[in-house]
Amino acid sequence: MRKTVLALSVVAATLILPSNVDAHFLGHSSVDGKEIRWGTAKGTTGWTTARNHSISVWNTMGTIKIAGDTTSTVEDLSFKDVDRSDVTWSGSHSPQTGADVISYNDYYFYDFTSSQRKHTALHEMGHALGLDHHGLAGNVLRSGFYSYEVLGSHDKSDYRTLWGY
Amino acid sequence: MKKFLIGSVAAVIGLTVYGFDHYQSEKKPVKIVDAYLNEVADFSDDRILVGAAQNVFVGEVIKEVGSKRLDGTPETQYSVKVHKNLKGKLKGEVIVNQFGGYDKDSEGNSVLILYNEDEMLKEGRQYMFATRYLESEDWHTAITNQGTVELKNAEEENTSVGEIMSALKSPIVPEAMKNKEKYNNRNNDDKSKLDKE
Repeated sequence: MRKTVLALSVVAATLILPSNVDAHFLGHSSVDGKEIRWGTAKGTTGWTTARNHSISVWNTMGTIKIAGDTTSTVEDLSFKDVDRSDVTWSGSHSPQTGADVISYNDYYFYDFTSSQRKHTALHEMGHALGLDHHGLAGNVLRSGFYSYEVLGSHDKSDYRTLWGY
Repeated sequence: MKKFLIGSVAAVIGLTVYGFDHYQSEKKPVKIVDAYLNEVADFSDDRILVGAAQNVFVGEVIKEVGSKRLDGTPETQYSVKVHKNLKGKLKGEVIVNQFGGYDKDSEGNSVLILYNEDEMLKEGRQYMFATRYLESEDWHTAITNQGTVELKNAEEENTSVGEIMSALKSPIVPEAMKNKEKYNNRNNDDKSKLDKE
């Protein structure tokens, strides 16, 4: 009897008590059928190195395929350059009717280092994959101004929790 | 007489059903969709907030006056009466622009897009605004979240003003805003060259 109560208590604690590091999800994404097909329906970007870096890095995770749109696929995501000196952001991910849009802000991108551009691109693609901000150092989804060019351990664990292996 | 009575009862029933149905549909909350902006600094530090802002002021939202999509994403404009300037010298009523607003989802239903979970401004409410100006639109875009702090009463206003005045003694301009040499001297082909660096 005592062992049964103890076992049940452990199970209950596991379910009730929060884990040390929670997962962080948006509740929506640009993913459609295990893919994100990107194209030019809503704009283009001249910052192709940063964009391509974000695509290749997130593609190493393997589950969600990020690839160019074709005549037989529906575009899920566009990339667009904006020029906004009245804002304090370098990039954005916007859910929209039709394709969602990742925007890079020229006002900051021109004077950014290559690492800062790649970080912004990785960060926004993380949102396109449905991942939310958090405050864990060394991860591209950490909100703020950083220069990470690779995914951190929490970026990967959030991705795995959301999309599997 | 009988027909009149039957017709009246039918009309009352019909109006009641219509009213109930209309009330139910009006009660349905609009779905909120979160969108995200990657800020170039941590604006929870007031010194950085005032360092980035061109204007910091206490103002009252008079009314919503427009909705534009300069870059395809919803932005909402409000007429705001300036009550007190803390940085800058705005007068009378100005247009404050806020990222976010209404859109349609793929099924045609209205959704409210909020950026960085920043609640949309409300008419009749007073806020501490921290903004940056866009000359082409003659509007002042609020820094998300920390640039739209509601002041519910005099005590909150006094506290907020005190905090901002203290921050203004040692403002911090964000690193990303300091050096604009390449942007200010950009040509059409510069972007492709910079992209390859």
